[in-house]
Amino acid sequence: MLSADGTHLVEAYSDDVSRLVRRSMLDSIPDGEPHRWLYRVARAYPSRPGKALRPALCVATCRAFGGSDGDIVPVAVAIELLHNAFLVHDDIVDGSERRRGRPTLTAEYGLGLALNAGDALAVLSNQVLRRHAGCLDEDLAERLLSEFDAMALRTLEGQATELGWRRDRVEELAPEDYLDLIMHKTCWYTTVHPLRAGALIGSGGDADLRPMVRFGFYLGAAFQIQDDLLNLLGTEQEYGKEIDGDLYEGKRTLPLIHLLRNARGPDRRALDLYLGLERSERTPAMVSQIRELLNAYGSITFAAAYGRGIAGAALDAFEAAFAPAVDGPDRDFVRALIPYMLDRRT
Amino acid sequence: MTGDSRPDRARGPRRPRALFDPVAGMRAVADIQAEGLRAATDLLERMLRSEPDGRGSRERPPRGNYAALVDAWADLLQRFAAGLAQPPQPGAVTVPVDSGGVGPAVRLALGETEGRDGAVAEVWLHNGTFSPVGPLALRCDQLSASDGTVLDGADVRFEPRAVEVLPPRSSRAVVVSLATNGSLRAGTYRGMIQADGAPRLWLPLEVAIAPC
Repeated sequence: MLSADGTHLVEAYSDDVSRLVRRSMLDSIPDGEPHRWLYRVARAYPSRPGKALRPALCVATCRAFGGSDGDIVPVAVAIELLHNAFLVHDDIVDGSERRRGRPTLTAEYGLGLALNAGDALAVLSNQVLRRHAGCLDEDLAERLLSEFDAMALRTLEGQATELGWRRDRVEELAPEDYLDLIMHKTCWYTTVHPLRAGALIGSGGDADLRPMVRFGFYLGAAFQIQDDLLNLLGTEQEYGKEIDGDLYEGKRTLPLIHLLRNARGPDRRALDLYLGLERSERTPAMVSQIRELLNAYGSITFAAAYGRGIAGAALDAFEAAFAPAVDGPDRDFVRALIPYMLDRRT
Repeated sequence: MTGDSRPDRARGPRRPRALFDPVAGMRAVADIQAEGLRAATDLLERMLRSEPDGRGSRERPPRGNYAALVDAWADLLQRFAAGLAQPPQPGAVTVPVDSGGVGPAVRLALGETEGRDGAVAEVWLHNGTFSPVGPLALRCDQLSASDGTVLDGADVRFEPRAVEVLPPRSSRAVVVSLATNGSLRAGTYRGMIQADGAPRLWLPLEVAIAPC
């Protein structure tokens, strides 16, 4: 269980970094013409306060490994811009209506402008990173760019796999398949890359980056599983996205995979029927029925326990990854993220 | 895709029974936690093996060490839950049949007032895997005191003598008792329970005999 102090530490630290990064992020987005149809649209998500988990993790790790903000903030900005680009595209693919408590770009500006703004954010992310890399030692710059490119591709591979599962109605899935998916789709860009980039830059290239994969994966998996659960159990006010959105989309979350493996007879037939529908054909009554099945088969309890088992290893992995880091608030923040990931409501 | 993608359809009843029993619930949660941890670690190991070393990479522990650490973690999770979830009756212990390392101690106390044959304990064998386990037969060869004195005239008995099949995700109690023939020398004697059919399982057994 996360203490009140732990929550405060995580949220205060993230808020500080969020402000720092948001300002730099908005500075990096041009504001000329066509303002109304591109730059204003592209600024929409970066302007909305978010958790800033990725930049905070990146900045804290860099600081803990001896780096300065000037070395790392542009990297954190690039990561957050790419994250925003992914969000825009995800919202289009998923047909989502709410993001960070407000209408999605698609809902506000239409699909075409939203898609274009997402592309712009991805291009700007690359621009920020490459401009900063030009100021670094050549070898370090090459490693940073290579890390970034690998992370972006892994994320796209994960996204493609998830969409492919839904398109081809792949249902014979195990929790191990889910872990493989989220390693690509979520963990690499949410935790592993921010940690590795922070340690790389902070240590001037000396840090061993492999332990960051372990820690990042355990942390990122706990984050994603909690996200699956919040989508079912949270409130829209806290979560910022529509509740049950994953169910409407038929997303292969851990609870749904558990249900697919265990539902029998008429329950299984109802599930198959549901998953064979398009999102627009799924009604609130159908979603309620699937929710009921998730409860009846213990799928939500299963996902929560599965996530806690993984998070249990994160602490040891953290100690190994951060053994060379300096004690202090930055290291404390990263450590406090472990229970925070499991107990967060937003 | 990776991992075992077998559906669970053939594995049990139509809908899982509600876990009203807090002991069973605790065990089930610990099993799922251990399953999640093992799956995550397997995936990591596979991925790290295929990753080129970063140029900043320096000394690293041997690969097997981490897997062993995670195994220990997973065992700890199960044992912690098993320890918390001991059935209420005294003298009962729960042990996962598929885990290595020492299990909780089984204790038999033969007092002055009760009959020498009256002491019993229960060992709950728990199969947390998705496959049946069995047959299993518990045994305990010899009990000895700290000074090396062997307890003669007493046999450790198990009822049932063998568990033919322990279905997936189930527990079964085996009653442990001491059969005596004649008087026994007072003292504390210890031995080791092992299981034919579960080579990684071993539990300490302690028999305390009060003076007559």
